[in-house]
Amino acid sequence: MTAAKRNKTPSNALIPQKGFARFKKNFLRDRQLYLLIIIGIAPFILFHYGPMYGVQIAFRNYRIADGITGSEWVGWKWFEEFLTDPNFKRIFLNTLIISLYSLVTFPLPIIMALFFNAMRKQRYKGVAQTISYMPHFISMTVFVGILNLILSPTSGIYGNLFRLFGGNGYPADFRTLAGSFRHLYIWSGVWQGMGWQTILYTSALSSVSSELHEAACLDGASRFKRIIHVDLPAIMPTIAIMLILRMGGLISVGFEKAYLMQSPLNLSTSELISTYVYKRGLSDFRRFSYGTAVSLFNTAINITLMLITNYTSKKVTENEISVI
Amino acid sequence: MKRNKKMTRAMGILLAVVMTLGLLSGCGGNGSSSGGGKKLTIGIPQSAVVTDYYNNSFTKYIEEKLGAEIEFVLFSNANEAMNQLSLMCAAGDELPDVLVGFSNMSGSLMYEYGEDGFFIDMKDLIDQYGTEFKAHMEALSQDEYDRVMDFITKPDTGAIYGLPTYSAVTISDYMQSQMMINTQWLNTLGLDAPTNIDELYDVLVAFRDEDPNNNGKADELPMLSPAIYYYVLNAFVYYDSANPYNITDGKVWAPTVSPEYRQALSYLCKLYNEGLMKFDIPANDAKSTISGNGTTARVGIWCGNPQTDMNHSAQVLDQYDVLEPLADKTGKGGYLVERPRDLLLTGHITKDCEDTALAMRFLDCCYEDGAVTRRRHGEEGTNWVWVDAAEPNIFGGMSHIKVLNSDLFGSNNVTWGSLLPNVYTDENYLTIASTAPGIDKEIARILYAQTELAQSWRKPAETVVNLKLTIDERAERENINGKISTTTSQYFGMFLSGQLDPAKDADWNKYVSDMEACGLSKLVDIYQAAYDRQ
Amino acid sequence: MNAIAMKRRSGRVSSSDRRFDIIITAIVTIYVLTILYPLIYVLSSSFSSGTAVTEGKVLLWPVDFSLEGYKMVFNYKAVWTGYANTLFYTVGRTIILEAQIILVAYVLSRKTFQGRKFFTWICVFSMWFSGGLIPSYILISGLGLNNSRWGYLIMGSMNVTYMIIMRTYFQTAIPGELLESAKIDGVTDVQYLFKIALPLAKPVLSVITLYLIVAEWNNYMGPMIYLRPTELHPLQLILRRILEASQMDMTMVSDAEMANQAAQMGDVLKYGVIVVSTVPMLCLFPFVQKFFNKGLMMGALKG
Repeated sequence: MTAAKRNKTPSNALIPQKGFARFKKNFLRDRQLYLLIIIGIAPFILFHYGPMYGVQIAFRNYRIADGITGSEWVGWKWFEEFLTDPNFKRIFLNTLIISLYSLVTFPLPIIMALFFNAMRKQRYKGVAQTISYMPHFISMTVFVGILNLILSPTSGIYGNLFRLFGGNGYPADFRTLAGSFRHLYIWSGVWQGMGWQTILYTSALSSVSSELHEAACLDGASRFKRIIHVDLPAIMPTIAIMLILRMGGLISVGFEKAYLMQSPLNLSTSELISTYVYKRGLSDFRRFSYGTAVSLFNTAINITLMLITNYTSKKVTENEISVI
Repeated sequence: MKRNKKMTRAMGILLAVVMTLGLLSGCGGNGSSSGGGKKLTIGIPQSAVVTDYYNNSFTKYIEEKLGAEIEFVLFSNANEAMNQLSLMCAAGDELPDVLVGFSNMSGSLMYEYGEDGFFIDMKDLIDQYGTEFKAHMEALSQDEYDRVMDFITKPDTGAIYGLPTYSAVTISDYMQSQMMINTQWLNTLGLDAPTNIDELYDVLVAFRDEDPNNNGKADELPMLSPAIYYYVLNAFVYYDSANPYNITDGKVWAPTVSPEYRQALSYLCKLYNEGLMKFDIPANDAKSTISGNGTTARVGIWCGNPQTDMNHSAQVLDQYDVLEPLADKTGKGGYLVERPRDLLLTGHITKDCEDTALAMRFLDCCYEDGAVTRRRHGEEGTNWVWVDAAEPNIFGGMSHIKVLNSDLFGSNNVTWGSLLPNVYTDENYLTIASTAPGIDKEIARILYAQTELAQSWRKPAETVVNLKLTIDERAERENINGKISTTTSQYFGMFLSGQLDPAKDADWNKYVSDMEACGLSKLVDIYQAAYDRQ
Repeated sequence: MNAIAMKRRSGRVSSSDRRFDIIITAIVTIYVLTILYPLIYVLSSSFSSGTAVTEGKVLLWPVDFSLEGYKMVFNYKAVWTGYANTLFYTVGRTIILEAQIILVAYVLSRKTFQGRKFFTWICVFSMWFSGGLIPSYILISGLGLNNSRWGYLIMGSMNVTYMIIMRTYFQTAIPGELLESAKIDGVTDVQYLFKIALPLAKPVLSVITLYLIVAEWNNYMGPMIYLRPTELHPLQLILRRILEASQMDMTMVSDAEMANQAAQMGDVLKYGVIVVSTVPMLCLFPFVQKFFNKGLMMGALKG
């Protein structure tokens, strides 16, 4: 990419024909690459960019009979409705806090992957890894159901333990407390997803060359030190890319789990942008415009966050690691 | 690299096998239809309990009645079906002739479909072919007739774009509408049933502290329900959670910002903080808590539907009795909220229907007693029979249906699972409760007591439920209500959990001003205008 | 690889390393135990009677052992066609999508490719903006791809996140000298991809394959919208339908009895269905792990 930049700037400034000539020369040189990428990206362009004109319904009052391009143009109406909603401030803050909180747990799968990698008993390691992937397959409805069951103060393990250790009656019900929603949401998410997220790091770790470890060993590095100085730097590019991508979706917290965990008592912390929009009638086509406007709003925030992270990563790694 | 090749070959073989499989099952699909007979396509949200729609005794029954062949266009569950329908319309796909079971359709959405030409106006068709529908409608009281007709008719043009499912069943009105109290506990402690909120407090404290179930453990929950606070609220002010707006002396007002509501919040906070009442525990957990350990009850007061909120194997229901609505200290209040009878839109004819008469005959056919009973109880002869010597049902009325076995709600090919256009009456609903052994007898006892109480209890003179709004007003109401319901529940949670204090003016005013910002006054004005018009 | 190196050195493991070993094993063990509980719970529930499950009696082991759930699952005809469909969609779509990802990721990893920035932006931009459901449906329906098995195979477009992961791997894990020396040997760009780059990318390739397979296996949103006829439905859609039956909409209270019965059926079925639909996925893992280990060997050879 730096090369491309170098090519373009002088040629554009000086003699335009030469720029085209160079383009032609590069094009001929890269003709196979062009062919490959065209084959690969054509379906993507068709199925993703084909419908892109639909974004404009965020600025229109969509009606089926009028179609997307024929519906009445209302400008920023839906954005205004969302931003001036008295509930906006709270649900936006709730969403932001949940996202930032979940960002705190971002290193956990990395640590776990390093641990897995450092285990010496290969068979136990394999079994442990396989088990750790499994919760990923439990559907959200069932997962929240199990969570409710475990944490039931009357009949769950939580209540039973409480009474076993001398508690009287029933303990506080974490499932419905506003103060505990975020912790429950995030940590149950870690519980369910951490093993699955280690997969990518495990695979990256698998290409760390053993010579490096041997060399470090000869230098008398302890195992812990080798993890820090050999393994971690090796998977740094993967970590950085995952972080940038994560930032690009930071504000988009899915609605399903939060929705299932909501109760009127915890609504002051559990109402998120996505659950609110869902409740305002996502499946009613008259609300499609509103829903699209809200997701455009999220997009604006996500783009900003991702570009900032990407820029930082670019600076720190001297153009080595970046998404764009 | 060799392994790579092997892998690719394995994938290739797998793919080939799978594709053959795919083709085979593709061919085996819907049986081809031949012959010049009439045909009707029915769009219906698919139900998990139905194993087969084509080889289905209800389908056969309808086909015979109509003298036409039925073909199905199956949608996902009722909620997703709405989405699929709007996509089909947007893309200009061909719609099925008739849509049934789209029970999430709201009135205003239906008007829009009608106005845009996707649904046709059925007014003339009803006059011509709707004999069963008209007969059932005329059997309703004038008030009910007005409510149903008002619901299905577009206010400005008078067009009818859909047919209703209406439940005119007496007992279903009061299910889930009242509190039940453990009389055995009251007897053990020598207490009377509470009649006002102060007495309620004392009783709950006794339930909590004095081991009413005599097992030496503090495992009693004085009061519990997913929604019991509505019933305590109603001791202070009439509060219908579905329509929280009241009319007094010709003036519409919102109980959610009234001083009485504020007092009720303080009272509820007290109960909650002292562990006298549990809120919103997940449904499954509530079920096992209410059922106790099978023989020992754990809960003092609860509300809910004994039929669905309790394990049928538990033997604790006989300990409970219906509790009369409470009064606040001043003796005011003490209302009982009446749940409006179920009224849904479930039958539409679309623009792509050629034989509209046939479509209307089909919809009308759904209202027939025979068809209704088939949907509820299954095949005549196998699952139920008509009897001449009628058996008394729990209300002393007579039922001419005897159920032989009601075990068809597992997977079956006897019904269609979804809600079809229908008017439920006591006649075809109350059969099951009539000859009930065991828990069913207890359920019947509770329901009967609830019904009697509700019919005799005082009601507010006027409510906003039946006010007629224009189309624009309805849209506005939907919009404002969407915001308000979130705000109300969020603040309710904050008040109860102690984040805010209802007794503090600053906190209370913040709540009121947020409610105003949602458009509370505007909605009150809309109701007022509608009231003044009538 | 660590294991090989470790074995060679096992004679001289220091005490601090041994302590480290014990700590790691302990942490992993605790983690695995907390993970195991919900899994055992689902399994036990699937072998218990429906009432025992709803009454909350199942805590760890099956209560009132019963195979009723499995009997019903296997008698549920749609489950079998669902299985066949899922297999078809998963294999077909994984291959197609993976091919797209490889091609695009490879080209974008080539630093001298002059359209690089342009094509990267095309991909990344789409992570944020999409036209939404309606225009997508209009397009698919206009192309006549909906309500057809083959149409559903084709209509996918690659996942940009996986593409970027793959691209980063090509960029960082494969040394640039390899390309230069290959060029000198007269290897074309296409040959380089299939003969050199791809074999070296096996670890990440296996991960992305796994991710794609699992995503396709669990996908219900696409089929729900684009595949209306029941005989085309994949397993997940059928599973969802069964799960929904167990939480039937309570607006139908006028038919409480019916709701109650349907809910009980759902309670019996749902855990069995989860087990039946998850087990094939779990069988994949040992293979994937083997692939990781192969990746290790490659790494060792390369170094």
